[in-house]
Amino acid sequence: MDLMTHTSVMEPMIATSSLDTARTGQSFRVVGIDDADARIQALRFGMAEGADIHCVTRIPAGPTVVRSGRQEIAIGRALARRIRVTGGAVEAGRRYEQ
Amino acid sequence: MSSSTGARPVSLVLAGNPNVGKSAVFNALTGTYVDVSNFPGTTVELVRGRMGVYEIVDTPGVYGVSSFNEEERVARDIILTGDIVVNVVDVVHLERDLFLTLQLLDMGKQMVVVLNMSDEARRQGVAIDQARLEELLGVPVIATAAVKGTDIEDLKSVLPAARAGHGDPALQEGLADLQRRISLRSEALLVLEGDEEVSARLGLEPGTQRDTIYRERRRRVDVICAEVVRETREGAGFAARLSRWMLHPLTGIPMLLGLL
Repeated sequence: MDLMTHTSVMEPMIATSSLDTARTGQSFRVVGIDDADARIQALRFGMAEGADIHCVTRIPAGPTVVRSGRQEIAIGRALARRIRVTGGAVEAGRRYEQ
Repeated sequence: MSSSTGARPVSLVLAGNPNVGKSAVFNALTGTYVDVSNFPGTTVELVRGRMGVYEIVDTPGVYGVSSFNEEERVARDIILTGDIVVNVVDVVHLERDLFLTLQLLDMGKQMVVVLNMSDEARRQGVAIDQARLEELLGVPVIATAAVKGTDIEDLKSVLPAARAGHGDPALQEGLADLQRRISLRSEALLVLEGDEEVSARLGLEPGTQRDTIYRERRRRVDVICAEVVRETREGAGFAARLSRWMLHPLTGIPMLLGLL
């Protein structure tokens, strides 16, 4: 019984990763930004926690370019490492873009 | 207020995000650059011009009013002292640009919003319900396409109707409390948002609510956008694709060589 109760309150397992591991074509939801200033800027841009973003391209050894709605921004690797995201599905019907 | 030598000029501040067409609006309003100078103590360039009773100041493009960098500090101080704010907004980036717009509304500035229908917006088929946006913001909204003469006449004619719009009602209490000590509502808002510089200037403790206020402002922007934006196509336009090609080493290096 104890075990049952315990299991029921367990949060579902959601795998989070950091944005710097994103690959072109994947879509994510932002779950956390571990940088106070970046979080404020993200709120201004509409890419803060809860926003759905799409990895447009990833420059080798460079920034990750993400899109949210009609906006695209390049995020440097150091910052991308501090942005936690869930998901990573490749949208059906959307071709990889270079 | 008027005297025999004429009334004090009305200070009109152009404000907006970077690359939204502020300077085009400035040029169309003033006809020519009248005075270019650096903002005292900074390397930020300021352009001033005159149009009738208005003294027009172009501000550096910013995503919000606070103290993150030199441009923001300059834009902030000009906006604080301006009589009227003309907020230029790019419809392609409405969900980004309206964040500043709502902040200006929360500051209680007398304002007019100029919707810049850029070529990119037309190409992407973005349409805005202008009347509804005007209703939601509570200030006059003017649409311009490539800043044509007729649009500028529309803007000029609406300037006297500049007014304070609908700020966030949730901020009222905090603002009213602060306004017992600060006369300007715009300064009170920045103190409430925890702007260290403005608070220090007024000898007050900066507020600790920035995250909450910004989050709520973002939510309100998203609600407004959901109501007024009609888009026919999502995704990047040619300019965005081009910049992406230029960024990528595989395509960027040949393009660089081509240019050289």
